[in-house]
Amino acid sequence: MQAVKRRGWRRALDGGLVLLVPAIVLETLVLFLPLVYVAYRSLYDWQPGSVSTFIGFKNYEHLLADPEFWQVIGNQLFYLLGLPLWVIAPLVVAFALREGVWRPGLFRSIYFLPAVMSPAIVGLVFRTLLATDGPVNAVLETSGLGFLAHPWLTDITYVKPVVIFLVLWASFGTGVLIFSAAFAAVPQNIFEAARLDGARFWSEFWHIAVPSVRGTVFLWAMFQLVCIFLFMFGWIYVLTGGGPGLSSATMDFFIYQQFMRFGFYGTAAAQSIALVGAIVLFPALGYGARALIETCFKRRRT
Amino acid sequence: MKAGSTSKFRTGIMALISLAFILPLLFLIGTAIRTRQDYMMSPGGLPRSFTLDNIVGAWTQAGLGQALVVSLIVAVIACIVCASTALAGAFWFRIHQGRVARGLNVLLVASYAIPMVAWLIPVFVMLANARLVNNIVVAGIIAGVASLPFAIYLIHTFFRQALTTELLEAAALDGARVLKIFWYIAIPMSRPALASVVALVFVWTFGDLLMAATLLQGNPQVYTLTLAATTLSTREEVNLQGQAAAALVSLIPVLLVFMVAQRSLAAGFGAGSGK
Repeated sequence: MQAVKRRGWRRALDGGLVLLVPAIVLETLVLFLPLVYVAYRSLYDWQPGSVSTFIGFKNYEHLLADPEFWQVIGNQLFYLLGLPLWVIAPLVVAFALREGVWRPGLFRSIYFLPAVMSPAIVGLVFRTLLATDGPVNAVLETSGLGFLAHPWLTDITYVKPVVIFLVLWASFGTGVLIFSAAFAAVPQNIFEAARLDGARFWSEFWHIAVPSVRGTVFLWAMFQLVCIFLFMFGWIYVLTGGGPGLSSATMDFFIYQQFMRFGFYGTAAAQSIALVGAIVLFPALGYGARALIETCFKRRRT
Repeated sequence: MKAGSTSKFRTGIMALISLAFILPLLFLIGTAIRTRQDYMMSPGGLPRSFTLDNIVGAWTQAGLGQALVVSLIVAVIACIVCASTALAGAFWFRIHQGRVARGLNVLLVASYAIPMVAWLIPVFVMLANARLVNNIVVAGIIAGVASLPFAIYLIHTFFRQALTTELLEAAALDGARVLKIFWYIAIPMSRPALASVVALVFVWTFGDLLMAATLLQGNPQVYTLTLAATTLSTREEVNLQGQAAAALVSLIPVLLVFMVAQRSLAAGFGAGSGK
């Protein structure tokens, strides 16, 4: 009876394809076809507006032999070192905000502010703040901490860690929000039981809180992983211009420059495809690592 | 710690962390309203002067008024395109759950991970051939599509919870067809999800630099606020106070949206994260 009824509403509601068509058409025109076109053009000495010649995999060969390309890849891998920080910091704070804090909602809102502000505009503010003769160094000098003053954005040693902390600054509030939602969905009595057993903050955090939201932790880590490849342009463009040299450039910034500024269209296309590859590869590695860890845990338990 | 009590220590730490988010804003405001001499004297100190010249100067010099109008038009077009398309698509995915529908769903949502530069560059080339660059309507539509994968995901998550099978069954038994259910049931009930989508797409489009710097960079008349403020900052004759003023002006609209739509924004990010 139930099955018949179910099939009934399905059949009654069959169709309505017209509702889906706009989404398919728009995404195909703006996202999918251009991607296919870039893949196709990456095999050409691409000269938009004039004659392009087919050169096979020359663009890719050129790319692999280009030290600048490897430097940018190295930058991306260095930025990935920030991943534990970007995951653990909001996780701890979301956990601490659960109780014992006055007006936690207010704090969540304040932390969330960067999510609505343009990375480019906020980048402008930080560029000024962190300039060699800027306010941060000035405050350090006047408070007797002059040895901590550094050319934050113009020195190869400091610029990448600074970017990692700015990514933390930008994503922290969103992470807190997502982890707070995850904690709210966990049955509260397991925390109470742990406290009756005498668990303190950190042991409660590691042994109960983290395992109970590990699915969200993993998803957030994957999201951050993808973001570091996808959404860094605004920050880098304004904050450092990729510099000094190319030492803070991300792939999206590098591609934009190659294309819009230097006119290396073919290699820019090949790089775009390499970037797509990275975005498929890294989360795949993440999923593989998770599967590996989980099988290890299961084996140890049995 | 007893449940329900508040800890001064914990609240203190949270307040300390929030300084990291408030101080840069205060610095921005402070820099925009003080004179150049005052800033040069002590860049890290408190302002000792007050002037609106920087803001007025940035407004007139960089044409921020016009840029604000352009930004608003682009963002509103993006919101309309994105919200309406995603709403219809997400509803279709709610009522069709076969293998093909699911595959299409994954495809349309996973396109979120296609890097923007990878599709934007060919789009730019094609638009340039069609003489459609520096066109704010086209830029708005493309910005809307850029947010479409996320919007479809968000509204679909909402429909899966709110538009229950019982509800659909009842409607189908009453003889309502797809478009009717969409129009009379799905759209009215989707207000909270729609509010999230509109708020998010608005702030993203408003703050975007990459699309603006690619599709609208050829003509200062169609610069968005973000593009105008960042180009202003690279012009040498414009001083720091002018830059700060431009940055401040371009943050005010999104801060207003933030205050009004805070809950929708938060709900948008929290969607589907329960598991």
